[in-house]
Amino acid sequence: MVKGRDLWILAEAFLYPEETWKEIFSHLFSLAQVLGLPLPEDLQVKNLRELQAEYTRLFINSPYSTPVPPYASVYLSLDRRLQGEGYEQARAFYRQAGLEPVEEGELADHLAYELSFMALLLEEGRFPLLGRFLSEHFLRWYPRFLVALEQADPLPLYRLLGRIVLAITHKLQEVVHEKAGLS
Amino acid sequence: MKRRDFLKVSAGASLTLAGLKLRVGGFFRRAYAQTQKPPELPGSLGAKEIPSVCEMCFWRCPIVAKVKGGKVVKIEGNPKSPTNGRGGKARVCARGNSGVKLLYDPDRVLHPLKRVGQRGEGRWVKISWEEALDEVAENLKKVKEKYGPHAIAFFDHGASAKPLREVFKALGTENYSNEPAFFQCVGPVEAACINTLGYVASGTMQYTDMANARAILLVGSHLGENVHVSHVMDFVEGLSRGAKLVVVDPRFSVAAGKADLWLPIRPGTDTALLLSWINYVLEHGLYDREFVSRYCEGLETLKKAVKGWTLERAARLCDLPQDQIEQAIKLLAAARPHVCIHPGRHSAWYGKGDVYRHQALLILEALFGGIGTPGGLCFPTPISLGRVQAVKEAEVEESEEPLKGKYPFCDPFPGSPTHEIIKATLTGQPYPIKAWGICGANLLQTIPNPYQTMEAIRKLDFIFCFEIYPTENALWSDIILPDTVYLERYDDVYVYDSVPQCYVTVRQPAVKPLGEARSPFWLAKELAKRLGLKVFRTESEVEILNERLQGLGLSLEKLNQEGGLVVLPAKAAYDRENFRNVFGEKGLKVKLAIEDFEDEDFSPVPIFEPAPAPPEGYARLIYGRVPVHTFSRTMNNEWLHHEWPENQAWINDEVAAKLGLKDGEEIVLENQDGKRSFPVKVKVTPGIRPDCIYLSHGFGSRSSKLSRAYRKGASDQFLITHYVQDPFMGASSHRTNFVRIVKGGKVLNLPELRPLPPEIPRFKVSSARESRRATRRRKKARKSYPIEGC
Ligand code: SF4
Repeated sequence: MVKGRDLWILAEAFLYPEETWKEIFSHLFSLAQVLGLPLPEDLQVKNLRELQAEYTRLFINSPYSTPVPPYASVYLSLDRRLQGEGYEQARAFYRQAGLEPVEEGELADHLAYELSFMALLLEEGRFPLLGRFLSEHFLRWYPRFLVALEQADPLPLYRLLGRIVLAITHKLQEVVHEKAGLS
Repeated sequence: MKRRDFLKVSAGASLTLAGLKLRVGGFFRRAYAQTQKPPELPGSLGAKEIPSVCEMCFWRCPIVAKVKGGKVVKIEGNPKSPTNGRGGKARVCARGNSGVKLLYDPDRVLHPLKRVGQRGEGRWVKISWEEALDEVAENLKKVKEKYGPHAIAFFDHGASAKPLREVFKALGTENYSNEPAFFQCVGPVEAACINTLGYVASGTMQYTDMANARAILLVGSHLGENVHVSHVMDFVEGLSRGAKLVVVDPRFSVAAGKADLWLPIRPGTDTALLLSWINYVLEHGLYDREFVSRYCEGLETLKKAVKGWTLERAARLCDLPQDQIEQAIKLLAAARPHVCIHPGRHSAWYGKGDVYRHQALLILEALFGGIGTPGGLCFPTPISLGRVQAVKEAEVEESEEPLKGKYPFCDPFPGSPTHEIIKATLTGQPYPIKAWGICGANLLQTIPNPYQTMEAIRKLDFIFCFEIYPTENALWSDIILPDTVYLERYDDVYVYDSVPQCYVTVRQPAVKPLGEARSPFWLAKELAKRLGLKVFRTESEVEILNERLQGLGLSLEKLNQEGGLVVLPAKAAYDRENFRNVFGEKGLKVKLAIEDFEDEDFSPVPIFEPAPAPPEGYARLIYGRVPVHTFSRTMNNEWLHHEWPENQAWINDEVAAKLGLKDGEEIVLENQDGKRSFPVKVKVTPGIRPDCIYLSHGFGSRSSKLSRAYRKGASDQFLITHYVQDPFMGASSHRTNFVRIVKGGKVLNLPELRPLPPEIPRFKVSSARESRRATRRRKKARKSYPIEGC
């Protein structure tokens, strides 16, 4: 059974790493086990700096091009851009839920926003909307994001995180189907 | 008004995990009464229109940004503009259109970054603005305290550099603005203009009245390949009204394709051709006697100096048919005074002789009476903006041994010659330079011998940049600060003061900055605070703009009511009597011989100093532009990359036949110092001389990470390792490098199909070999970047 708190943790793990990173990731390890995902052998991270540098490289800036921008719009727009169709789509879902994203220096189609949104819908039991969000939006871009992530040769920790999100959202889809009786 | 509840959404007990407070808990708030948005009109229909100024290149076309839902959806030309808007239509070029793509590019730098790897490695962590600003301020302070103010240097370009420049000036460095724009580009032509005409007829602005010309001369121009909208429109308008066109270029350029006469000249001999034309015009009485006697000085000195410059002599040196040289000058002379002898723009070609070449072009124009004449060169119309009180401009005290000291005609240029800064950074002479700031200029893609620049950067205590993209500057910087795109910020008031009509407009934000990008003014203000410098007396950019606009009885609000642009008459364009030169003196005076040059032991009239020809087996590397790209800035822009993803190496068809090269085949270029390019495809064409190989600039990115531009074509820049500095103002040459071909790992020497006259020396192969040997020695000594060059 997927819990809201799992999604919150995943959302947090996709933000820029801070002092709390160890706790966050230890939650993730147990989550991986529950989901039956194999833990990679080398999960060692030297220190926070190393993790921050890796996060920056993958998701913020690399020379010339960011390998894996964590925004829906980059994967859903025709020309790999920010604030394109995918962004509008996410915002339309938030509007339907009566929620407004707080965008302070960040964009509302960031992976962490979308995971938090799903956590909220799950906790509030809004399964039909959650189901539509997953099938019409999230699962249309996330697998592409994950391919880009794997291709960027990330630290095993981020590879694991990426796979957990895919596994958990698939599970979530099953839950939604059951609960809402969607076919 | 919708009622909203600004309480953050409670995420339930699950958010408190072992005492952790999660940031994601604050990502949403409830918005009551939020229903469907009203349906939107398609495309840019119903968009809000914000007038502004393009900055996809430095030409500054007035634009209108169409904004919908807080996003720019389209960019068009401002129809009120008399330059890029004519006949009710306003235009922007392909790059101007793609500003939208730059704005929303996921590769942009949107957060301050700090280097964690080696310089040049490109490994960063994200930091806060607080930390970034503190780091920059602390490091600049430290360097200033330890080595003095001049140990700080600022490399800049474009409008966004302006506020930061004031901070560097206030820090007290004489190296406050080392614009590649001058020292790699327009410096020599500007020096020639100031000293010959008393105003900058060609620089950032071009006072060339091509639309009204009856004949046009272009020497080595990329007009039509470097698209500056109104410049190209003027050119096309002139041609469509029947202007004759002479193009002098070793390559069959786009402009050559429109020419009545194309003269494929031997590179480095342009001044010989111009001197023979000047002599011909004087000997055959083809000059405008009235103009010359009324406005020109030094005719006799000029006459004496060019005597002996026969067409026959020029034909031999320039490798051109004599009858065509004669036909060309007759054609130009017949149209006098409505002749546009284009003074050129990018003029840092061979180092030595660059100023003389442009001086000769201006003399020819003056002999035709084409100064302050419709169809020739026109004058700027003075437009008086208000004085700015809100910014306190510092007076900079020169050092005891100023870096520009060696160059007697460098004074009008702000800052110091870029290569003098690089050399001082490397050697500590005449004084040490230990900190660099960069804004708007990609140093490694702009300044000859990037290997030397990298070596200099390694010696610095501190280097930071203010950037839109994570380019080479970012790779080499300690701190990277996220700049805004021009669609997100205010800049200065822009004045266009030439034909057909003048105007005033402003750059203003169409949308809020993305991420944590901040405007140049904000950065400068914050930095000044931390450095304890009182530079800005206001918190608002609009106040500065209003002070400037006040001079014209305008304000930003009023200007916007007028569509963001107010047209003014170009009343001074042809007014020779009321013309005021840059020194404030009234009346036009053209110097056919320049005493100031003589005083500094230069020749008062242009002389021909041949640029060394290619060593045997090599061809000269020449470069140019493609219309959809700006410098090396836009190659990674997805729209523009799609249009023009890579360059080709143009090789003469006879040479190709001799070497067995076929069109489309892949080769590598190797320069005289043994530097090699990435593989590049050959374009076999009769449209280039056999002693040249041509590349369009900016391709062949060296960045090894996932990049559209990476390894797409060959970079001319990384083959330009040898440079010579212009002795007048210190600009560095870009056309003093030679290449040969490597195919399938084998070096192919180029056959010499156009024999060299004895007066033209060759670039010494031996020195090149020695330098290669030296390179190998240095490499052995475990230095990864050898210092080469002049
Ligand atoms: S020429 Fe093109 S890129 Fe340059 S300012 Fe004009 S529209 Fe913009």
